[in-house]
Amino acid sequence: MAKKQVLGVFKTADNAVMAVDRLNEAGFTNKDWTVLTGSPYPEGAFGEWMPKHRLYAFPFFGAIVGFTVAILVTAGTSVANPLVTGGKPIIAVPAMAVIVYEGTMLGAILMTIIGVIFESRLPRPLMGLYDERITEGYVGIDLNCPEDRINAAEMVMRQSGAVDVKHQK
Amino acid sequence: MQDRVVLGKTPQEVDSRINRELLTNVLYTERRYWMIVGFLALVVALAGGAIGYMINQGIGVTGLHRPVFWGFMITNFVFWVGISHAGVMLSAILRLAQAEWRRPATRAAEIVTVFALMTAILFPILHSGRPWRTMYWAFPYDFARGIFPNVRSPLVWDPTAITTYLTSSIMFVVVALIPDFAVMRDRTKGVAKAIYRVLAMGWRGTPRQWRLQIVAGFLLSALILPVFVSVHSIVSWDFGVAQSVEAWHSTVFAPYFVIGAVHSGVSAVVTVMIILRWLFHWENYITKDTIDSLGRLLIVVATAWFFFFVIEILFSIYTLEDAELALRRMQLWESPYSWLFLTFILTGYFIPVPLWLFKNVRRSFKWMLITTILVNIGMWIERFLIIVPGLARKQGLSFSWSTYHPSIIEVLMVIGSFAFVSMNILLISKVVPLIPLYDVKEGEILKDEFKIGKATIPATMREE
Amino acid sequence: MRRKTKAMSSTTHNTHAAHHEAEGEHHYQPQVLTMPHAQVTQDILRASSTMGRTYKLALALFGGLFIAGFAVFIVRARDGFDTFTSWAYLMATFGFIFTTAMSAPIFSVTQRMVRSHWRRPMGRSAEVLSVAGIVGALMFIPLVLLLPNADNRKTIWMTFPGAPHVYELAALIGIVALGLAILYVSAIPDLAAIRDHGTGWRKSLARRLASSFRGTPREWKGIKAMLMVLGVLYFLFLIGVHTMIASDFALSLVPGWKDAIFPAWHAISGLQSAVACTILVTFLLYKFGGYKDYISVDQFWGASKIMLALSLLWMYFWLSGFMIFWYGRQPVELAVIKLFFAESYRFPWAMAVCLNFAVPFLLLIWNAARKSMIAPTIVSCSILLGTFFDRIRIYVGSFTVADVRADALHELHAGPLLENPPPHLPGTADVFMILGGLGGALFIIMLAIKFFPPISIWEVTEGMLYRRKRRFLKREIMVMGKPD
Repeated sequence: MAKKQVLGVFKTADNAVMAVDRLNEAGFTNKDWTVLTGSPYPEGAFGEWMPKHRLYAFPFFGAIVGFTVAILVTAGTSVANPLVTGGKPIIAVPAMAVIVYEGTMLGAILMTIIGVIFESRLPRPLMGLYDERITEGYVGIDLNCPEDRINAAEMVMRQSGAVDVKHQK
Repeated sequence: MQDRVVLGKTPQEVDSRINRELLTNVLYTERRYWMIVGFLALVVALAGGAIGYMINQGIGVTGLHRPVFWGFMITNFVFWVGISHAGVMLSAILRLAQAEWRRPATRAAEIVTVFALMTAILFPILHSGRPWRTMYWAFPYDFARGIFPNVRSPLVWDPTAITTYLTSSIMFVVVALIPDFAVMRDRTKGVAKAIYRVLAMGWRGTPRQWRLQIVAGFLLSALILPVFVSVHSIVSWDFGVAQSVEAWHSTVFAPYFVIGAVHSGVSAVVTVMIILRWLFHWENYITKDTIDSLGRLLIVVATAWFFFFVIEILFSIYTLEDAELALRRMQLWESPYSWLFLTFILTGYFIPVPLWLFKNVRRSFKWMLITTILVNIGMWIERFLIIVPGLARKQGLSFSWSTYHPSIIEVLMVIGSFAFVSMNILLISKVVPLIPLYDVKEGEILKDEFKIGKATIPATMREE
Repeated sequence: MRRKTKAMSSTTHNTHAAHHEAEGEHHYQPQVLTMPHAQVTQDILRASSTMGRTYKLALALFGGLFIAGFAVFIVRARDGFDTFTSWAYLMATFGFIFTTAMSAPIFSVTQRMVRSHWRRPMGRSAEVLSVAGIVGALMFIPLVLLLPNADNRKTIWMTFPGAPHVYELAALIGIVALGLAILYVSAIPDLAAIRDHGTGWRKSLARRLASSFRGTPREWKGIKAMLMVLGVLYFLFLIGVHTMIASDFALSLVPGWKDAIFPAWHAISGLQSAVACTILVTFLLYKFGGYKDYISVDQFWGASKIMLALSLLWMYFWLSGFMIFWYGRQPVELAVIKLFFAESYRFPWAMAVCLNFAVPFLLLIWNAARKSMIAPTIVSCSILLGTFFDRIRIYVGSFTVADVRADALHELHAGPLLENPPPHLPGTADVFMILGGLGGALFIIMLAIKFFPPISIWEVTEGMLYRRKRRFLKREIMVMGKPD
């Protein structure tokens, strides 16, 4: 059976919590729904499912790439144009270390940015069901629901105090 | 006594009010805003004219000449790099320390960082006279002639570090703006809405997205902090590694410059925030508590800076070398350097810090504005006193000693740089909210209180 | 909006930091103590007044080492105080004790200033370590006598009369006095608890030290104000004393060594070791002291972040100095690099880099390591060992320079290759003096801990007032009061 999205919009977080409790009693699990909020709530405040992220791998990888590129550029250009300056060796480790360090950090930071955007599943041109009141402090419960249970889900949400319930067309 | 503002009774009231009050300056414009921007644009245009004249006529129109080849432009470069350190200090360190009072200050600080750094990077480029002919010493592209940047030179470390810091700061700001772009998307119409929809990238506010924002905030803070320390250290090594100039070859330069940067940067952010508070009516967000906390931070930073300053002076005269002592005598007793030194030490430390020890001063917007402006006057002069006197006495033979008189071109460039940064901050305030909306909203969610006996104690919920 | 918090119903048992696995949650739960104040007092007083067999044996061992070391010192002192090399290892030992135990109160001082709550069970143990200053002062007096006067050599005192002896003695007496003052003032309320609930010699001594304390709001305000003032003074003084000791006992003994960052680096090293010392003591109290209910992973997590930052600063400050010397390549700068890093004392330097930077950095960048008890403790041991090697490098290296009144270091070494001299290795007497110094410091600390409760009763119970748990939607969350 195909699944469709149902979005309930609640005025208070307590109503939203009531709704998710009732949805869970109705046989849904916390993997079927997610919460949409206009600001971060403490993790687990709604009993939501939080899949693990792999953000920490990105800076690691970026650092390795940045480090390698920086070493190649600094050592490569020094060897390509081997002029002794200030009595220092051609491959001057303390001097190269500065640029290699910057390259490493730049790689790590850029990959972290990419990682944040990727792990947040952005960009997402097709946003799916959404309500602009969410950024005004309302709480949305976005439920992934089989078609034959949509009405039941809507009833649960309305009984829990939803000011609006939207369906995916 | 804490100054907690009650923004509303329900989450909708609170969020609505935050959106309304902090987006007013983005969505609507007062006449005084345009007057201020117009005036700043005029000053920037004048400075632009001066730069054009200098490029056309050559570096000779400035006051630079043997042996003082670094003057106002390099002083200004070091100064603006210093200002740029405020962003990371406030945003990264206070985020890692989970200081609640940082919330309204972080984005303004980060924006100041970005524009300060952009301004700073212009000056060594302009200072080279014909900038289009000097790029080969910073970027390895000249394969034809086999001329590559000298990686052993701090003048090559500089662009690497500044580029890294600038890129990182911009990315940091942009990523943290995504949730606020979503708010803009939801509150605007037409072309603006379409633009913000693209910038928001489909943000919906799921727990995963929020979690990643918070984790990224910590991770990027931890990654940017070492970069922030390295940038001004590398700038200091432009001077520190040189042996031929008295008072430059000192091992303490790196942390001395960094702590000085933090001192001037945080002061600059306080100045900017007080002005923006007046301009955009942010009385509920930039409160006395905010500037009180910033004032206390400034006392610590200023005192640490003063320690390094004393160490630097002490160890410069430590070996009792004649040339070094002569330079210090010139700085302290000979006009105009003596007046500059006196001004710097008074405005940089001995006026503001004793004043900041008083709670009434720290909680007064007027006095914090005055003292933080004084600090930056002092710190600009400090950079000048590090660079120019040493160069004026650089050569061993006194016939080549000289003085430095900045020309009107250089003065216009310096004034123009202040106008440039201010103008850019005001212009960007029309595009993005300068106080992070979600950060403030999160702070409201986490606010709490409880009673101990008859006392009501303000409290904060802490996740971990 | 504000919510009024109802405190969770208290139990008589402490809730330790734990992972909650119910309903797929695994949120870290900081420690929130919920037992009655009286129980806190009882537990801490009981643990601090009992002395098991192992403790007594350790006391006897350290006391014996101190006596043996002191005896060797007397024998060597009969030869006079003219030869630097004879006292190099004594100076290194003093430098180590000064950098670690005597600097430890800075941890308590700074954390009290920033009003962190996690520091509460750790602050007193940091303050108690300051008693090692008494042994340090005993070691320091002959070392000050050893110093040559400031004539014909470069010192930070220029031509000040009495330099450096008078100022060094004043500085050391000042820092020891300040450290002990902070310990005493912060312990007054706990001494009052001992006066009221203790027994035997502890009760009578506490009666003298805290006779009039009753716990009025005025008295509490006075104690806090005094601690703030003493704390600020201690902080400023400690940085100054580090500067003086690093300058007079190292920098100025090496002709031509002009290094403005060195005193600041020495101070950072002191801060790093102070935190390490405090963490180690806290772990020992947790494991063997009977304080399991009051110490949790929160303390190690909070302190390990500071330790990581200080380890990075340690490396940064060193690099700032090294880069200038390496780049400048002046003969005296190269001679200093060869003496302290590249040739003579490269082994202790390598140990210091590994133990003070590499190990802390590689372990503490991982959140899982920071959020444990064992990893920060291992790092602390690593830092303390590295600092010990580093003090040998600095002070033995400085004390073994041939002529402190020469113009420049590189001119002292004869021959075309300008080789630095080999390192001065410790003899049997040196080993005894090292062990004696360390033994003496540990002896006096262990004695002090049995009088001054190593966990501050009043700060822990104050923390209990300001930390509580509440239910927020479906989550249990900690609420932290911020009274000012």
